[in-house]
Amino acid sequence: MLLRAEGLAKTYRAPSGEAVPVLGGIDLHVKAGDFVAITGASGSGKTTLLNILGLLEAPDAGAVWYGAEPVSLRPRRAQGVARGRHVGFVFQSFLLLASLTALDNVLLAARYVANVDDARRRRARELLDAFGLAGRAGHYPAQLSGGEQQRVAFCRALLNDPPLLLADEPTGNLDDVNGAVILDALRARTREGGAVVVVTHRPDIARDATAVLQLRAGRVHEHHSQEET
Amino acid sequence: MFIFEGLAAVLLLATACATTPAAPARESAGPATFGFGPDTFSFRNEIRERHPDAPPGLYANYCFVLARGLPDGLAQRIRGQLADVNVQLPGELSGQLRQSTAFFSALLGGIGALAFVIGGLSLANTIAAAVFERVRDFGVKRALGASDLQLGGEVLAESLAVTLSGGVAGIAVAVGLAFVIDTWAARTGQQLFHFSPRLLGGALVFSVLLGAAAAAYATARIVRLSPAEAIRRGT
Repeated sequence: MLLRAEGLAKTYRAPSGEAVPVLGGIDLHVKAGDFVAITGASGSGKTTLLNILGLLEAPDAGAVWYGAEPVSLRPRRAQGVARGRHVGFVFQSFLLLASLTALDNVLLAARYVANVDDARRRRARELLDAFGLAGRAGHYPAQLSGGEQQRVAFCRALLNDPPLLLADEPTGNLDDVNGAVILDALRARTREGGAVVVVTHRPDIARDATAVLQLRAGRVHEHHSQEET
Repeated sequence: MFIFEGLAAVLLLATACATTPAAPARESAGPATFGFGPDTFSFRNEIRERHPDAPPGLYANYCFVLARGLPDGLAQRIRGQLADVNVQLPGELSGQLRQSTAFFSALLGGIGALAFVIGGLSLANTIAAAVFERVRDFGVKRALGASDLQLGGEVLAESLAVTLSGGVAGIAVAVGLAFVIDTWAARTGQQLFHFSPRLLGGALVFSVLLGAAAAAYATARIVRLSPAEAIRRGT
């Protein structure tokens, strides 16, 4: 099992002090080759769930395991290392650093959890080349289109070859052509033995998924998987 | 005009009036010298020297007295025996000078303190703002595995580079400006600025330490946020 989450719960505190429950007791198991789609209306807790799975946010209850390690219970430093080595993130708004070139943005994934050596640089250039960005390596995010920025972000997510990709509306800001490139890359990742968990509103993505987790008001409303059908 | 009789000597300033034993001599253009115990007085009538046709009775007579004994004792003896000669010790003179310049010293000190506080706050605010405005970048870096220590190190290195280069540039501008102004003021025999190495070094160290403190404070505030919260706030 690549990822296991059990009993995840999260409550936010509104400025008025009122408690706003966002997630209530979510369980999820993800193994190599899985393509899991998390769907649901806005405010149903999809992004919060993805953040907790990626250790970007701490749950109020429950725990997350990467393999056999209960990473969400580890200290912050250990969580950071685990996050850097096991998870690649693809965000809707790309989240590239404006002061870094495309190549340096990709290499940023290695800076904190590995060495930025020649092998990493070669790998980063190969990834950029594979996504049609060989001529854009020295360009800054402001000089790239939205589709190109998302492809750079995707290269960054793949640099450390993480077993798990977490994507939050990865095609939300892209046109159909660029969206198809990203989706193909996500699917290819599962064929290579990795696992993908994607938050999406798009029915076509959910249709192709090996499992669909539909949330409603922070709880699992429906859970389909190909194994069940 | 003062007559200096030796730098190492203890000096007294004596101001003579009309009825001293030296008064007749002071009507003449040349210096009038008379003895007082083992010591020697040498009065010069500046007005008479510069304006020989000035009416009698106008005196501007000063002399420095080389005291062979203790200056206080000599001053007391002169005061006791020559009633119309005023004697002042150099310490008293400098005290009077300090009193007369105390207001300007306080004014300049106040302006300096104000500049110190405003400059310091501006520096700290700029460094902290530069960190806070990149809260999203810090969130992304933490999402990619950066630890608090790594982020803190990056921010401190940046603040060190900024405050060092800014401090050196500021000192260069200040010294350059002071040089230009002092060159202009030297025509009237004045020097307005003096930068000691201790002052310059202190200013540089102050800017570096303040920048580092501001950077550490801002980083500590940011790393308290979860990566997701940092990304949300910066987006």
